[in-house]
Amino acid sequence: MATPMKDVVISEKAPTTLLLQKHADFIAAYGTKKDDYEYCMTEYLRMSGIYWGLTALSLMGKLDKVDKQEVLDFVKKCQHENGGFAASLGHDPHLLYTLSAIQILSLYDAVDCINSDKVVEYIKGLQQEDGSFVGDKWGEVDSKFSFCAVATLILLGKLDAIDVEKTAEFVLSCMNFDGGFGSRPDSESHSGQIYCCVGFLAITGRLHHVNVDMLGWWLCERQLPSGGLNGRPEKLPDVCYSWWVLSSLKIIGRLHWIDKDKLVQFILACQDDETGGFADRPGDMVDPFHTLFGLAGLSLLGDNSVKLVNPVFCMPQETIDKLNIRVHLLTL
Amino acid sequence: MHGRVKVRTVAEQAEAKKKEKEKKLQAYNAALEKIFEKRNNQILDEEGLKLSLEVLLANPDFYTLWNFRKDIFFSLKESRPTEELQKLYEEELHFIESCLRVNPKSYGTWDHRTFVMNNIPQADWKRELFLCNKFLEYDERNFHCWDYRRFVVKNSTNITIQDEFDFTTDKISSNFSNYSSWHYRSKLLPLLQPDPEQPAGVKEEALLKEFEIVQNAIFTDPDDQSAWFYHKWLLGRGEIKLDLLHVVIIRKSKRVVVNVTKPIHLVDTPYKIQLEVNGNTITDKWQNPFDTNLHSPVWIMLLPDGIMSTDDTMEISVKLLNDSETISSCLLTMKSSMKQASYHSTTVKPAAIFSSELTAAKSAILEQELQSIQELLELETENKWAILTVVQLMKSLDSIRYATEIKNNLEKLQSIDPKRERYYNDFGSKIVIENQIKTMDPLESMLQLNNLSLTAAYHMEYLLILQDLDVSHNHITNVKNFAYLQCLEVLNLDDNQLDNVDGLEFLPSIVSISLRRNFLANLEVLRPLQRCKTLVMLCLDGNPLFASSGMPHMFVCLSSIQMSIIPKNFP
Repeated sequence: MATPMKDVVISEKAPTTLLLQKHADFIAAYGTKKDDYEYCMTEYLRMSGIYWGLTALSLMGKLDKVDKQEVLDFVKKCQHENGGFAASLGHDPHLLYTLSAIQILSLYDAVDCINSDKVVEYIKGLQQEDGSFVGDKWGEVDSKFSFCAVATLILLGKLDAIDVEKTAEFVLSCMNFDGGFGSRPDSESHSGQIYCCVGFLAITGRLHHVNVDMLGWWLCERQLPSGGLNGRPEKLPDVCYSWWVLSSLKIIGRLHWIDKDKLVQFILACQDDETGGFADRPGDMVDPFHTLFGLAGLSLLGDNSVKLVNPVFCMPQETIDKLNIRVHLLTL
Repeated sequence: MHGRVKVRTVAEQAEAKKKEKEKKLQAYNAALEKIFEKRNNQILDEEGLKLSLEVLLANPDFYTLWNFRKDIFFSLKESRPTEELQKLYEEELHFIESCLRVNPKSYGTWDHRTFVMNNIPQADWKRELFLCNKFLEYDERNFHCWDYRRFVVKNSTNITIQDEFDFTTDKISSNFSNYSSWHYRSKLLPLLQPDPEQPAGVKEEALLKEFEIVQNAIFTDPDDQSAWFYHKWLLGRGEIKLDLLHVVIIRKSKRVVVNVTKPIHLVDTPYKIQLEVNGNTITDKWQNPFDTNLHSPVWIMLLPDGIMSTDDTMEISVKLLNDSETISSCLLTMKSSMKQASYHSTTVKPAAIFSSELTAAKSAILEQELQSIQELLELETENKWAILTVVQLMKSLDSIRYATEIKNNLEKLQSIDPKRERYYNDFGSKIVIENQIKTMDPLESMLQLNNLSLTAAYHMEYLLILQDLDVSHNHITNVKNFAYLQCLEVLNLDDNQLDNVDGLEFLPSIVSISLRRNFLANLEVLRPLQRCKTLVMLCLDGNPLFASSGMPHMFVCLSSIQMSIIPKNFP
């Protein structure tokens, strides 16, 4: 009854070098095709889409390819009366897009152009009795919202606005038998959630709670023969999981537990050499989301043609330095 | 947007496709326009529900539209009789099910279903469980559905933990490779069969039965990692009790250093370390070796001026408190002739901490497991999971007796699983260092860890009494955690792979550091050592920095006078 391992085969024709110029063109052009079907269908996550695109450009040193004022105007207009940000005009405010908005403003060093006290109030209002955060007023609880809350607050220099200890207690209650984390207590671990929770513990100075060698082992077992990383056991590899596993390993000081050369090869093979951009797997359709995580992954793996990325915030290290944010990572 | 294969099309097809999409988009946008108009005017009626159907079917992650529907339901609640509401909610459940068939992994859709179930006048939880069964049949790894299932179970009055446990048993027996089911079992088993002696533990009979099931899985498909991760969890993990491990008083650097069994913080926590010298309580601030605001197993008190200069014998008392209750305490006497005085616990040993990684189970169970896995290895000689499990079991049972076998097994793992070579290297280093610590005299001030193929310096916090450490001829790449070695005076790091010395700047007593033949590329990386006021000897021969700076080899060994030249020469 042996289950065949899920993986992909990288074709010999797959790209093996980083096509930086093509990626910059792909991202810059993406925002201009506002009447495209795909573009319209993703409006519900526009704010995050802008963060992915701008961070990708920023890592390539090409942030100036986008009209800054247009972006800032859009972000400002998406802030609601209650302080939270919506994904787009006319949409509802949500913690996910509030973090994206503050990340965008931080990239431009323009947090001053919005009312950040109201953002802090909005975030405080989403915390529950047990320390957890809901994503918006409708009440979905998820440990990734705890990450969004503390990441947004520290970017605004206001981490002390909430009871961090209580917040951490909830995140720790999502820890599992494999050392990983799920979205709620009793939920299964997966790498995206692990990134959020480990990132949360890094921001709040609580990485000592992590069972580092156990989690590190589980994370390095995400690497498949193709070199790519999956998000959970017995799943296909994916560029975005490559980032989430990789950044988690970096935060707990175990990045060297995977085969870097093979992962670089996999990420490069996910590029589209016609259109630019990265896909989830070699040969699939590209998008800005996977393009950012492809580039950020390569940065963590030591590619000097991309700027150094901060593994907790997935933003350029220079932006985090400028904001004077110091997050301690573990070393071995 | 995952798993969409790029199809290369000819121009004609592309044009047709474009037209079709344009048409779809027009209808989509027209619907949206109407919806937003209604919403802006706060018209929350059944028409709104109809309008948003098609859009959500095409795009179930459109969270604002789910919110719109929730608003409508709340508004209808005011005006409609219960039966009508019930009907509307039931229709909503049908609609959600159609959306889930299109996209079974949409967070928003599943969350909307919990909203409906929380608000429907008469909830049919049995039907919901049936839906979960159906979706888990279709995809047994859909964690959204598993989470929804747990929500259903919590709200149902007649589903027991045993029922759910049996469900995972069924799932596993139809396919062992089902990580989600194993995960769920890890949550249910301690609730179902709690061990009265330890929190979150499992009763021994139940544990033995569970081992049987896992072994069945492992023997059927030894390459399936799901069962192996679960097996690792079953082997257990002991809880480490907080206690004092070491206390040292160092005359030269005027400090008291305390090592406890696990990382703690002393600000805004119930934990406290109380220090008395000759009956006087010292209330200065404790700091960790890195001087950060983080938890640490090592805490340092710099004694105020005057206390150490006395010629008389000093009586020092250290107490570890939890909420003003004493966990542990010790008394030390430091005569005027002594360089340092130290205490080490006779009840808590580092060895117990090391094996706690895998000691919840009794050693008889571990022995039995070792035997079974070794039997499997006879059939599957190259199975990496089995080999690693053997190493883990041997480490727990008796890492010294099995030292050679552990070493050979880890070498084998490196050759059959080269992607994780460095994980196995570090694991081996950890075991080697643990064995050294276990066999050394806890008051010994010298330790040789040279030539042991070490790639990582684990457990430095347990060695804070050392004055002389030789780690030469290894593959160490960073020395951050050497900061715990607060008594260290002589450190040999020759022939390693260091490209920086970060961590060594926190050594208050260091006199000599030898860093020959490492990867130190420039003087800048040595800058942290400027903080080491006691350093008189620094050996740097054979590092690339000499090639780049053109410095003469005379600098190889710096005397105390020459040391002061370094800062001046920094770029």
